[in-house]
This record gives sequence, structure tokens and C-alpha cells, in this order.
Amino acid sequence: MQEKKYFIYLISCLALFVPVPAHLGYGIIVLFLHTILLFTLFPIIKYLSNNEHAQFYLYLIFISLTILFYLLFSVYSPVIMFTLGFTLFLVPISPILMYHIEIKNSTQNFNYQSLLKTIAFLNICTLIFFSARELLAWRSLSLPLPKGIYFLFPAYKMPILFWASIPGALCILAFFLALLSFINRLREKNL
Amino acid sequence: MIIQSILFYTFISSVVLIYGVGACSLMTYNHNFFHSVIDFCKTLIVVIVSIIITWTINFLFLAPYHAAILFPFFAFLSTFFITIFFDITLNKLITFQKYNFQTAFLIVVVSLSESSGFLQSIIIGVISVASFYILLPFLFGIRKRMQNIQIASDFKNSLEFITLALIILGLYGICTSWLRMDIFL
Repeated sequence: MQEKKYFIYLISCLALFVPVPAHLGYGIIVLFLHTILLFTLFPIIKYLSNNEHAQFYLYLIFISLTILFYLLFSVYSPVIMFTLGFTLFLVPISPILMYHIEIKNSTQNFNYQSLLKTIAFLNICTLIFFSARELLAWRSLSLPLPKGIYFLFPAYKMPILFWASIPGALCILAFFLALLSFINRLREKNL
Repeated sequence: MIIQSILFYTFISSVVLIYGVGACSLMTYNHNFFHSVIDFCKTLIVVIVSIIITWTINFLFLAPYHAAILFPFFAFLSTFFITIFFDITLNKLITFQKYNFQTAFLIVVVSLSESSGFLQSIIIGVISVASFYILLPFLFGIRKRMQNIQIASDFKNSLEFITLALIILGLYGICTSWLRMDIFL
């Protein structure tokens, strides 16, 4: 049951990352912020478990952290931050979903190891998602550098725009989820 | 400028389909017609009031000190408190499921970051809310149809994403077509 909830979390997380531009470089930055927010969530989740206004405090913390992240990363690469712009504010929503999953568990018996595994799995899935988008659209992979996105391999001069667009991302996401669901089902059968 | 904004955010760049604002909420939305209408009115008021408050704070206190980047923080505060106020007032009148305020917050952020003036930000906000609720009956109909579909269980989760992709392709297919006019002419 718990794994199913994490699976739903993974779906909603990836769905939130769909509007992010189709480059691995942007994906890495978004993922970095997401991981920071998740690591911030775990120490405070115990204190907020009995609080009525937990959601408010969490939003306040996450949005403040996102603004701080935006400001700090703007010093590193203003071009990338300008391109990401509003999409960065989609990220604080997903850790709130994680909070709703976790708060229903017994927060006293908090298993950090399984949570670290969840974060690692989530990060790998997101990196694969962004890599697939960029490989299909640009035939290359990119990294975030101060001057902007740097292509590791020579990219298409005329990219296949469909895979870089939102419908393309949704199709990749649909295929990815079907694959994950299939693997999950096989694993449950073997257990 | 007003007509240009309305046409752009209604047809050319829908805030739900292109920006992805509220796409997640749209897929899990399951209120009936009456609650959807109340929800629409509530979101509209929350968005307009939040835009007014945040724009005023930005104009008076943030922009003169080059601190406009902090506006999402104030957008969050205003949206959250107005949503809570509405939740409390509406719950006294009717039993109403608590509304997720994320969509309203993201619409406020989009409309303030994309606009160049007060009136334009209000217009973008109103159109964004409308574009979210216009899509609701379509997705509801599709979801109803999908309940009767015989399909492998692994693809059931994916089907809604593919449906949304097809809707976007139907509306904006020319933008992602291989036969783009600017390339071939």
C-alpha cells in the first residue's frame, strides 16, 4: 500500500515537471531544488505532525527556500534562471504531496533509509525522463553552465519539436508510467 | 492590449495546457456541477483579490527597492489567507469539500510575472481561471468514457496523460508540426 502511495507521488511529481523546458540541464536544476525541499521536509515533519496549520508553515518554508534558491542560482547562471522563470514555483507543490503521504504514517517510527531510497528512485526516474525528452528532441544531453545550457554531443540543427513540446512530454510520461506500472506488477507477483 | 491578452491566453497559450498550471488538479477533480460553479466563483474572487493585494505590495514596497523577485512570497500569503477566509465562510453556508489552493496561487504568480501592468495582470488571471474551468467538462466526459474501456491495467494510469496530449495536439498541432511554415517558406 505504501509503495502504491509513493508510486502516485512519483506520477504527480513527474506530471509537475512536464512544463519545464526539455533539457537535462534544466531538469538537473529543478531536481536539485526538489531534493533540497524534500530534505528540509523530513526533519520538520515530526514537529508539524500534530499541528493544525502544518500545510501553511510548509508552504511558507518551501516558497521562501525556492526564492532563496532562485536568487543564489541567479548569481551562478542568470540565463538559466531567466529561462526557468515561473516553472521553478511548480516545484514546492510536490513535497507537500509527500507530506500528505507521510503524515498518514506513524511519524514516530520514521524510517529514513526507506525515504532516502524513495528520493534516490525519484531522482533517477526524473533524470531518465528529462534525458529521454532531450535525446528524442535534440539527440543530445546538456549540462547547466554559467553561460547557459551546454550540449555534450552535437545537437540537431532542426530539433524534433514534438518531443520538446508538452504533448510530447505527456506521451513520454504515459509510456514511462506504463513501464513502471508493469515492473511494479511483476515485482509484486514475485514477492 | 486587452483584446490581445484575452486572445493570447484563451486560444494561443492556455495557462493549463501550455504552462501546466492546474493540470494535476484537473485530472483528479471530481466535484459535481453545483460545486464546480461555486468553486469557479470562489477561485475567480480569490485570484482577483490576491492579484490586487500582491500587485499593490509589489508596486509600493518591492519594485522601488529592486526586490520584485520576492513577489511570489506575498502572492502565497494573500492567496492562502483569502482561501482560508472563503473556506470558513462557505462551510457555514454549505458543506463544501476543502479546495486545493495551489492552482489559484500558481495563476496569481503567472499573471503577475507575465503582465506589464495592473489591468493586464487582472485580465490574465481571470482568463487563466476560465481556461481551467472550460477544460473541466471535457476531461470529465473523457474520464466517464474511460471507465467502460477494456484496456491493460498498466495503461490505465497513462491514458489520461495521452488524452491531455491529444487535446493539446488538436489545439496547437501546428506549433509542433514538422511542416512548419517558418521553416519551409
